[in-house]
Amino acid sequence: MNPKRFWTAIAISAAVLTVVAVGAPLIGSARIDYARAWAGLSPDNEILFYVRLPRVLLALLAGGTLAVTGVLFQAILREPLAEPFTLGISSGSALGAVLTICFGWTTIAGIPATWAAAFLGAATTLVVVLAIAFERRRVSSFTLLLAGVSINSIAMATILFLHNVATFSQSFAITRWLMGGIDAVEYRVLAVLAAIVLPVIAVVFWRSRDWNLLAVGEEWASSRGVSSTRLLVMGYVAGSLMTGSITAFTGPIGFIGLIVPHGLRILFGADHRVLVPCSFLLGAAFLIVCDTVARTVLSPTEVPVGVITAMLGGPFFIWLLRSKRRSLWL
Amino acid sequence: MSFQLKGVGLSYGTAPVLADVDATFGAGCLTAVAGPNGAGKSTLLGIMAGLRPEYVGSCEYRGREIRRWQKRAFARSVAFVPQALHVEFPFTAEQVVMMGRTPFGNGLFEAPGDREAVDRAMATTDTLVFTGRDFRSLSGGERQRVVLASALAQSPEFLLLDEPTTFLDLKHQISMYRLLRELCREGLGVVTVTHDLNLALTYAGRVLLLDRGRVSADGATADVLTQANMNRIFGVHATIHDSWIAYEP
Repeated sequence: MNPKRFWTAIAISAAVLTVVAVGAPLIGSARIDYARAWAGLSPDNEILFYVRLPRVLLALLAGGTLAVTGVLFQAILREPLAEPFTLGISSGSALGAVLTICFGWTTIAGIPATWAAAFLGAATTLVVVLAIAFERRRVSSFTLLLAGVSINSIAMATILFLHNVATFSQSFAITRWLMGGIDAVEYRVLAVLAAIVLPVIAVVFWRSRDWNLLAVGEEWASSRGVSSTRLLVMGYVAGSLMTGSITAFTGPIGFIGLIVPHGLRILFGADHRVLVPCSFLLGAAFLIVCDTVARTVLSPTEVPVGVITAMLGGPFFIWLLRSKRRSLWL
Repeated sequence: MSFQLKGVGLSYGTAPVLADVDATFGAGCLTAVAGPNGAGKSTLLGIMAGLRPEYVGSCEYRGREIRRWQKRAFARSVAFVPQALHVEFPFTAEQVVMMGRTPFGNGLFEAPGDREAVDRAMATTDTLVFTGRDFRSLSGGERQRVVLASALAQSPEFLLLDEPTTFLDLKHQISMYRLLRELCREGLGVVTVTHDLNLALTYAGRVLLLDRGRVSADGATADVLTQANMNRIFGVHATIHDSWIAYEP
């Protein structure tokens, strides 16, 4: 990897994200006066800095993290169709969070219960899906995706069931877990979320050369001095942690980890040193755009952003599936 | 001796695929490992490449048990060429070769020395023309040469190859073995699994025949590739001429 090419790719992606992240808070159903907003006058100031900006920042963190998670799972499973949603991990994570709502738990060992449960849900789903798909240390992509779909349905059905037996206020809290959405959250919460996912992403980026090897094969990595077992465990833990912490705030949002990395591979190639940071930057930009569409297309009402990403991602997934069908049936 | 194997064996479940293998492999020699299907050839190579640490017995490289080697240090000395490489992602041929430099690097970018080693390895294997090509778009034989280049980029002292000529056309089969012989003359140790006994007869200095997981013959090529051995191990009627073997069922 030539450093010049690396920095060019980063600069382009960062420029796109900057434009999107600066532009998106300015768009919305209410007209605001920017001079009044800057001057701290109500309600323009509140709308810009406490409604729109935090939402854009959450979309930034969520989109970037989900795209990196997609890259990571695709590398360690050597499966271009793997990502948190198609593996069923997003739904499993949402189910974990919904269970805590139904049991009325607010904290587990001092940390907010939905976070802990979303992480445990993600990790458990991952273990189950892999246990189904692994055969003598090899993953069958066919079984992997079918297992993901099945776990997805089971988790969603369970959420629907709990939704039906829940009390009115619980049911209201559960609704957002059925389809992912971005809400305005406090800056303090955003800071905590960033403090969890950004270091994980930094570690994933730092091991980029190792993901390159692993994306080719475990023996390939092994015979080049990389301990693939340790790397795989690290990848699975990082992936669960990232999916769990984002899903705890947004609910299951699908297909970002599929669309963004795939587009980037066509643009910049398969090297993870470019793929990981650019996926973060452009995944962030992508979800901000989707969320801006979600909150303006039917304004003043909103569409959950998960609906937008699924409408884009579903057909894209089918197209990818068709284009790799030959190798799938081999 | 670089590799020293004593009583090496391996079982999948209760079925032994390799048992009681005693052998040594040194530098400067091209050894062909041959035998019928399921004889344990690839398993033996996998053990020597450090990919099957669950073996029994003792398999030492430079006096140290293979599973006790630090992986990066081992990869700087021993390179392995797998039988076939199936890649899902659009890596270029050059990126695949550059991966051979992983055990030498620290940090995100390659050093200038890595660049030189890659260019040299690609020139040696006649693959410079594929530099920017998507590895997946190459033919089987072209891929095999790129994978060999990646192994050579590791600047190894010992090279292990699993059927390197499977997808090669006749011309490249010969240039592959010529290259291996050349590398041996430069002091490399080479062990290659092969089904092509004619190539072994022409180029290998030594042949090790495996049969049902055991060493059935081992020695100088002419002493091992005999009519009697061919009949006994492969179950074919072979006629050995000066530098080629004819088989009949």
